[in-house]
Amino acid sequence: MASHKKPDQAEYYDRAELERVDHQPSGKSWFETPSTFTALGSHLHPAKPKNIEVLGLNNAHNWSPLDEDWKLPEGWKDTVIDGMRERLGQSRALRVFMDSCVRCGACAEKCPFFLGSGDPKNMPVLRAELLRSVYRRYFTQAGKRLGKLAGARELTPEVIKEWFKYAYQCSECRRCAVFCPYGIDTAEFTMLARDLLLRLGIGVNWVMEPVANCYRTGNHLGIQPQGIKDSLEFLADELQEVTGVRVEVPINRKGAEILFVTPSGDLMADPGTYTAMGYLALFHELGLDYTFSTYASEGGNFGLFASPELMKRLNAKIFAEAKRLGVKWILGGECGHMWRVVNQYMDSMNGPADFLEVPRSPITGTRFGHTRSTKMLHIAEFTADLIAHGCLKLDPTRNAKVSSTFHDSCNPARAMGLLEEPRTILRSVCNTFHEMPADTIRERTLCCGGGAGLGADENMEVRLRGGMGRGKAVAHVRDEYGVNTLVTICAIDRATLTTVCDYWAAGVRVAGLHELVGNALIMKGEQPRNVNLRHEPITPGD
Amino acid sequence: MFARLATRHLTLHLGGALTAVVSLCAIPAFGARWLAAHASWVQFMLMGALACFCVGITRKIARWMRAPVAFRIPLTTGQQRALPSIAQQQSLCPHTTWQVVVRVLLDGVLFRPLLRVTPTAHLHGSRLSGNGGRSLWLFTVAFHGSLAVIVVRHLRLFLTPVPRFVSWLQGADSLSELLIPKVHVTSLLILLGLGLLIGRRLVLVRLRYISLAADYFPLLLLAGIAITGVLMRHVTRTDITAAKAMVASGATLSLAVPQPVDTALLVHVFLVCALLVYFPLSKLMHVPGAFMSPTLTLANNNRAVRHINVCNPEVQTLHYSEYEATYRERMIEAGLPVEES
Repeated sequence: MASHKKPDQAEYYDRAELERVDHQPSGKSWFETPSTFTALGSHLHPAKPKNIEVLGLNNAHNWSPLDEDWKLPEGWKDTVIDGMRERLGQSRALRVFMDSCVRCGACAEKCPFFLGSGDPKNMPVLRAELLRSVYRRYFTQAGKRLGKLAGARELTPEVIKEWFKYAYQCSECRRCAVFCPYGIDTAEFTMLARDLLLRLGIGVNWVMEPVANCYRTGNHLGIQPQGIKDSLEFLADELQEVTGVRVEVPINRKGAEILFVTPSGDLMADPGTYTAMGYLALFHELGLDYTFSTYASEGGNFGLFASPELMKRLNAKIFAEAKRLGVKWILGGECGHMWRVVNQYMDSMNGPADFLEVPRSPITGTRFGHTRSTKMLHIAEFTADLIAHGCLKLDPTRNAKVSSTFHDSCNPARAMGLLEEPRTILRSVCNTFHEMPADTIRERTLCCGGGAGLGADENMEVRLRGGMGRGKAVAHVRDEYGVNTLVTICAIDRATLTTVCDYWAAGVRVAGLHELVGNALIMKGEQPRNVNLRHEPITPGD
Repeated sequence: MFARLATRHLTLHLGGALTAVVSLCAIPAFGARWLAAHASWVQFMLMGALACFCVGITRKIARWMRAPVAFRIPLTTGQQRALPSIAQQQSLCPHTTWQVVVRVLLDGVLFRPLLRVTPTAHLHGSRLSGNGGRSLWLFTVAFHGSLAVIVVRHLRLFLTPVPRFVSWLQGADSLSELLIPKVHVTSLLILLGLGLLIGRRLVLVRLRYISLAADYFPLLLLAGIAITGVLMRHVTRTDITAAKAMVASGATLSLAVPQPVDTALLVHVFLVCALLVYFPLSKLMHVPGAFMSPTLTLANNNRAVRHINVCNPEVQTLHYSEYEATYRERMIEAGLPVEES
């Protein structure tokens, strides 16, 4: 082990040691196995009290997972049981999932975190049982009377610690559900656990700080309006250097046809910024009548990783801003969980969007009927439609140095079924594309290791373990076909998979889909394109 | 392999289940004579069990139904319907009700998700052994398939005249008698299926680790029912006419136990009663669960049709005016449009 490195750095971890995973549980029953927290690397920092307070949530307090006493509020047990009752009454999914699991084990070794850790409580079935055992004790006759024999157990502070540990070793990627004969969605259990914990003031800072930021400033990173403008102008400057074309960046413009919403991460951090440059180039070339917003400057929604109410509070800005600006419809950028929220929650929570029109491409005239209620279109759908109509002039040889593979982000894949749209685009902008093994893509795609609020550096060991399967699949196509670029349509992926690839598949880098579109796009009045959006020479051999 | 056994866990859960099933067998086995002499008790037991089953299932499903589907959270396992240029995978990512029906039938009746198991082992080294891969699908089909046939076959005891399809099924099921005398295909398959389903829980370490009494008990109970059934059919040769007469007498609430006392029959009936009572209280609710799971039964037309969440609480949001009030000066300075200057 390289001793000069710290546990929040990937290099700290010895590859062979991480790979030595034992997937066979041993020793005592899981009921008797306590949850332990090591100093750093395997858990997230607790939420700072100010981030709990600004949202008006209860029991903001200082605590640490390493503490013996987590300072649970008075009456915490009732809070949890009442909370569970409330959620059970609100969700048929939870009711059915609580009662239907037969523990067949089909999900057991499908979880990316179990694959990478071998910790039996990371088997989705057990992750759910951590809650189900408490449900049995307090909500079923068998559990009340037979106790342990019925698989029931008391709610104790130990159980709270266990929930915390395993609810934050689940990225809510829903891979397990694909293999479950009843479609039991472990993400629902993870979300329930996180929701109940938050009622006790137990949250993680990497989720709650973005939530607090987004609530106040409109985006996770806490960028103020002038900062958004600066970032976009900077990207326009960069784009001009590469293409010689000056693009306008419309912000908060009333009367635009389209409101464009994308994760704020793409405005600030590489490699997401290259994707954002791709959007700017594309929209300019199309002459799209659109606008960014500073108030709704976040597509992502970390509220999803905390509680349905927080998700709704953050998401409300998008429709509200569309209404204020008087746009006709909304276009959404490349993001994973943002699309989980848009596709599965937004219309129910904050709709109806009856002040908008059904999205229609101003270029091809296509009416996107599948979005006729939510009125929000995915950029991959938009661009795939342009390509299907031959409306884009593309030169894929500008991506000649790219040998690509595609990582299906969990949410677009398993919560939307957005599988072919990005592939259609990728094949049009890049001549070399190789799929990873069939059991690691599309609906069976593996995890980036850092979704659902797990992506903080202090959680590095968990991330590397959760991303192990993906990393090895990438290494497989790198070795087999010489793949050097992992293309993805998620901002969290672009951040976390960079770490995963550096560690497990060195030499492969991560790019957004519209970065490659931006490279291949032939723009009117452009200068000879010698470099790509990253300022690297595009001619092979250079 | 057995050295890794969490012994106390297994003792509690397998032991508990086994004790329960053996006790359930012992009651009618030792009380056969008494029961035969007090047929009204058998009648009472039967009606009670049936009532428990019907009321229990109805109540449980009603409880599920009372909870609203808060959000539409379908699980998409294939290509969505979006662009005309890209074909939708209808049974994997249904957009319409009919497509949902097809999906639910394929998933719920043919256990399609269990076929998705493909080995990821090549990515994880030799250490990761699966849970037996598609063998679970095979065991599941063997068990559920033969159980379904057996239940239909039992209709001949309840219906006069026996419907043609029941006789036909009975005949088809007996084809194996050409090879192995006196044995039905389903008799073999259900015992095999149950044996393998119990076996995998004992042999596969991960399965043993997650298994509870609630997992062993229904399997052992069903095994008890199947074994007594096979005994009656193939060994003790229960008088089928007498059995049918008993059913008929039970239906008119004047149940008469056939003489001489057939212990296997009584144990069989008693265990079935236990199963009926146990069903709604247990994981056996996975049967309706498979057809009511929101992830499978909701169409992925989320953006096309608004899903109403009846418990959609009002929440505190930060209105644009509050936002602009905070940043107005900086926005004006940056040349960004504002509502009030």
